[in-house]
Amino acid sequence: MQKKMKNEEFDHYIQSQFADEAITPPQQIEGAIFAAMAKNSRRKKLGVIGTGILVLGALAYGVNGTMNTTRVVTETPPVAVPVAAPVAMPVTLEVLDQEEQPIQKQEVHDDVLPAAAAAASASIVLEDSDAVENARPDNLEAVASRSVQPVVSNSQELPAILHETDSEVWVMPATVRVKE
Amino acid sequence: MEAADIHIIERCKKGDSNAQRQVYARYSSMMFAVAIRYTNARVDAEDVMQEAWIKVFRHIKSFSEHNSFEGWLRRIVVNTAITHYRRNQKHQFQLDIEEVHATPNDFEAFKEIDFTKDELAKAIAQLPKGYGMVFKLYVIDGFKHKEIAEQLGIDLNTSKSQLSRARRYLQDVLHAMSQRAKKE
Repeated sequence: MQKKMKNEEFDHYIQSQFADEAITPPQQIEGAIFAAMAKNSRRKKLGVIGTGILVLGALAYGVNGTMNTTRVVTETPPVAVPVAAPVAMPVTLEVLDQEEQPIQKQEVHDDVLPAAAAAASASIVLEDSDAVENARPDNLEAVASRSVQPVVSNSQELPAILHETDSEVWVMPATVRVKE
Repeated sequence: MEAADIHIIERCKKGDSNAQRQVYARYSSMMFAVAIRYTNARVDAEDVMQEAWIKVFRHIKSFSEHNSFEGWLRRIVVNTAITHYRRNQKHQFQLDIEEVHATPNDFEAFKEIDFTKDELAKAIAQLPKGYGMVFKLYVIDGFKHKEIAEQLGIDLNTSKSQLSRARRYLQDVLHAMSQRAKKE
């Protein structure tokens, strides 16, 4: 304990002697320090400028690269894109259902639109064989009043009439006789 | 810390070179004295001084006004001196610690004589390098053994034993000096 106290005392004595130590440095050190700092500052600025240039260059290169990539993509041959198979539409099914429903012709004729109903009945004529006679207009000339002669078959004469022309085109002459 | 000091430090943080020169003018003597104490050579002290001041201005933004600015500067120059010492240590032969001879334990002998700072500095400068570093860091600059061990890259117990031997060595030197002074 006695020795430890002596150590502490000794340390304190030494420390007190160096408490306000000061030695004036040579003048040239100050110049060297601030010159080095100015040099570092310039280097730092150059570094910042250089980094900026590099970043700009990289950006320009990137933009150019992107444009080239876009061009390449444009020039690539078209790829056959598989088209999805047509899906059966439920609407069609509904139409079919509607077709299967009985057509209420009488209600349309009598109540709402007679002309439209007539048109509708005309279109229905094509489908409904029973309505053909009902839909026939009155002003049509009766075809039955004309006498239509049956077409005479010349099948026996055909082999003699057929001949080969110079241009090697086979022509079949036909005679149409209309009897009034 | 005074408001004027805080203002100058704030200007330094903004890179004001006039403020930097004011700080340099105010603390350079202290910094140079510490550098000389650790290097024992003026040329080396100038290198340490320059390196330390560049560190100061480069890292001054990290300084907090709640701490002692002088203490912060002192730490920087000491750390720079340690780096310088360790750099040179690779090329130097470490003195054998057994060369230290037995020293008297009675400090009263030299306490009666008032040594000047230069005499003490000369006596400390005679310490073997390893001892001298540990002694100066612990006794004069108030480092703990753990910090010394980390800074010098040595074991904690080595730091303690080197301090003990440094004390004995220094007492021996001072005793010899006091005997010489008595004879004269």
